[in-house]
Formats: sequence, C-alpha cells, structure tokens
Amino acid sequence: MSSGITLTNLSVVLGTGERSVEALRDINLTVEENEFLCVMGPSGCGKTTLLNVIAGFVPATSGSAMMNNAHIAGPGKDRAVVFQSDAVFPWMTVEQNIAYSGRFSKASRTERKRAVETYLDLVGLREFRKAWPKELSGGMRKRVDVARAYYSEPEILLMDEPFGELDIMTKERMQMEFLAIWERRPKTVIFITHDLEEGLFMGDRLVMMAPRPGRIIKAFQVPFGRPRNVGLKTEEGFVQARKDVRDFFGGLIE
Amino acid sequence: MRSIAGNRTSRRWIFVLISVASVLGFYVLWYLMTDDGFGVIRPLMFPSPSMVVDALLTLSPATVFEHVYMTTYRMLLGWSLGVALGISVGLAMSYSRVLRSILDPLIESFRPVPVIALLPFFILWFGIDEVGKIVMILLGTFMIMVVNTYESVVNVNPIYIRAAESLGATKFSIYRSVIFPAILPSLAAGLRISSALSFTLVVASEFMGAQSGLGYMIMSARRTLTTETIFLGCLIFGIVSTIIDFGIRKAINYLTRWSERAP
Repeated sequence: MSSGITLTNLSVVLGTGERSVEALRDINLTVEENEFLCVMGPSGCGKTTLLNVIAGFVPATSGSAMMNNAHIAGPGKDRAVVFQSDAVFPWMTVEQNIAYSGRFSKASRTERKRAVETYLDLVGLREFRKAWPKELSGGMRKRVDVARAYYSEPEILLMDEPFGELDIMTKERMQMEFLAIWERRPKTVIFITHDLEEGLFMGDRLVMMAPRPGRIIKAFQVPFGRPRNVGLKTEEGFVQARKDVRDFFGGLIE
Repeated sequence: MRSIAGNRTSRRWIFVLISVASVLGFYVLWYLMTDDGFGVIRPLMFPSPSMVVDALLTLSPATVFEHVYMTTYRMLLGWSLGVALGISVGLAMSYSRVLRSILDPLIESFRPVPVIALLPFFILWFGIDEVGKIVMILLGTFMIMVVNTYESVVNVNPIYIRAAESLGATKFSIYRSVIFPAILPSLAAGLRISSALSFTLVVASEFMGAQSGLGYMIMSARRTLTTETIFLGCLIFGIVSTIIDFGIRKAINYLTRWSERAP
C-alpha cells in the first residue's frame, strides 16, 4: 500500500458553458511519502488548481485524485494549506492563530499548551506571541502561517507560492527556516513556485507544467543531498544544475 | 527642527479648537439673534437660550430626566434586540440555502415599507404601552442589520474559510471562529445607521401614543405651542444620540482593534 498522493488521468474544467476553462488535462502524478515536490510553470498553467484539487477545494471533473488509496472528497485535517496571500486570521493574536490548529485535535489542554510553545519557538515568534498580525511584517506572518499549518499535523503540506510575496532577503531566510523545520519533522510537501532557484534548492523533484490546457510536461530529479544550506546556491554543481534544468525545460521558465 | 509627528499633534489641537469654536459660535449667534440679544427672531419661532433653561426648570429636571430615561431605554432595548436578531438571521441565511430561499423574498419585499407606516398596526396589536414601541424599533433595526450581516458574510475573504477548513474546522465552528469575527468591521456602518433610525422611530412611536418620553414631552408642548420645551427636547435628543453613537463607536473600535481600520 503506498502512502501519498496519486493522481490518475485527472482533468478539471472550471466554470460552465462558454466561460468554462480546461484548467487541467490528463494529469498523472504520484507523490511519495515525505517527498518534497516542487511544481513549476508559467502563470495560468493550472498549478494552483492542481493544489486545490489535492486540498479538496475543487473537485476532479474526470479521472481520480487519491490520497492513501482513498478518493479526495473535500478539505480535511490531513492536508494543510499555506496560501500565497496572507491567511493568518487578523482577529487572532500570533499565539491564538497557532493554537487554532489545536482546537481540532484530541490532545489534552496541557499538551496543546505545550505544543503552542514548541511552535512559537520553532518559528521564532515567542516575543511576538501577543501581537496582532497587522503588527507583524510579511515574513513574520508567513511564519505564523507555516507554524499553524505544521501544528495541525497534516500528512501533507500544500504550499502555494508561500514565499512569493516576500522580498529576496526574507524569502531566502524563510526557505532556510522552513527546510530546517521540515528536516526535523519531515512530511510530504507539494510546493508551488515561480522561482527555479527556489524549486531546485527546496525540492527533491521538480515538475514542470504548461498552460492551455494545464498539463505536466516534464519532471526533474534534484541531485542534491540534505541537509541543504544557503551555500549550496553558489556551488558550481547548483549553478550547473540550474542551467541544465533551464535547458531541460526548454525556455518555458520566465 | 520639529518632527513630523510633533507637528501633527499640534495641528490636531488646532482642529479641536476650530470645532469647539464652531459650537460656541452657534450658541453665541443663537443668543444674539433671539430675545436674549437683539431679538431679530420672534420667540415663538425660535426660543432664546434663557427660555429653554426656563422650560427645563418649569418642568423640573427630574421630570425631564424621566422622559430622557424612558426614551433611551426604549431605543436601546429595541435596538439591541434588533441587532441581535438581525445578525443571527443574517448569519443563518448565509449558513443555510433553504433558510435563505424562505426568508430572502419575504425580507426583500418588506424592506422598502417604511416601518413608521406600520405604526397604526403596532398600536392595534400591542396597544400603546412599551411592547409596540420596542417591537417597531426592533423591526427597523433588524431590516438594516440582516442585510448588512448577509452582505458582509458574502464578502469574507474565502482564503480564511479555506484555511480553517484545511485545519479541520467544521462549518459551525468556522461561523463562530472565522466568519463572525471577520464581519465585525463591516457591521460598523449598519450598527450606526440603525441606531440613528432607532431614535427616529422612538420619537415617532412616542408621538403616536405614550405617557412618557421625549417624544411625548415634545408632543404635549406642541399642543400649547410651548416652543421652548420643543426646543429643549430636540437639544436633549442631540446630546443623547451623540453620547450613544460615541459609545457604539468606542465599542466597535475595541472589538475590531485587530483590524487595519482601528484608529
């Protein structure tokens, strides 16, 4: 029995009648347990739709989307989503946002309190625990988002260009912090990105999509071991791989 | 050199001074134009400040306070019940499509009817004691809040709902922990508009039949053309509604202190 995600001949049509769009056509994809998969592709290629199908927000029009050999019927606690834009609840403090995930677990009150402390430390926001999200920077809010998603203890983490709106410095730090958390507590991650360097740096495998209709055109196995650190980005092997992937994907990027 | 922030603070004082001067100017003008000053306007048309004070003393401050108390009580009770019911039904309508199909056409077809036009029915059904007045204010407030609530729910950013769903929240708990707090800032307008309407409705109901309240006080004074008492009633109305609106704004600002709109 394989654990993970299996998409078989998955097609999705969004909207009805003349305005309908074929967002995804014939997607076949398997994501292994604890694999870090990066999905790339130009705007409008159906990356987000793909994520929404796995998250259970959008139903498959034909074909199947399975998780642990069961059909995905709707959103659920086993799949947490980190959205591109801010999804931190602005009416809750940092602490309350993280604790929100604990509301739906069976853990005792003390266990939940301890977990909130752990995640506050994990994302380095202990001193901001009482702050409202509006008082935080974009990067800090993203960390709350990641902590909240991680604490809900999903089997799969779905991330839709999570660092896309951050400046380069913050983005790089978030990549490092996220990898550190992930290496300590591995999970299956499906990570959408625009950024080839980010994909190579973070992922075990890259999948390239193309638009109209949205489909997977190529996959690339990332050759680097783990743990990874920022130094990797300037190593000759990385620079070469980046060039190779660029050629491999045939100028579809950027 | 002055900092920009310091500059702003001193400027704010200038604007407060202008506002105070504006109010004072009005009173001075009132004083000068009426019988107390040059008597340009006839007292019957526009009573002078001293006549209004006399009116207060003639009626006795205790009696006037009793009227103020009754009016405020009716307004606040009817308004609060209307707010509670309007928000509950608005949320319920967005929650259940069946409920929406039942209630929406009824509410939409009744909404354009001015509540005041129904006043004779309220007197017929509930008599001229408290219930009829409070129900009328409740209904007026309800009509505003139910629409305000429903439209606000529709406008909640779906990303929050999706995030809660993927963290394991049920539909009911999403309503309690996501939708309700998310709509609070956009309920502010409805709360303030409906409280202003409630004041209009409470006066209308007290005009039609009451033994107490500012509306009753004004109506009795009208019969004897005691314009200074009418003017006193209007002045008190202005003061009470300003205080209540201030309270509502403070409460909303506290409840939405997390949002970007908070001052």
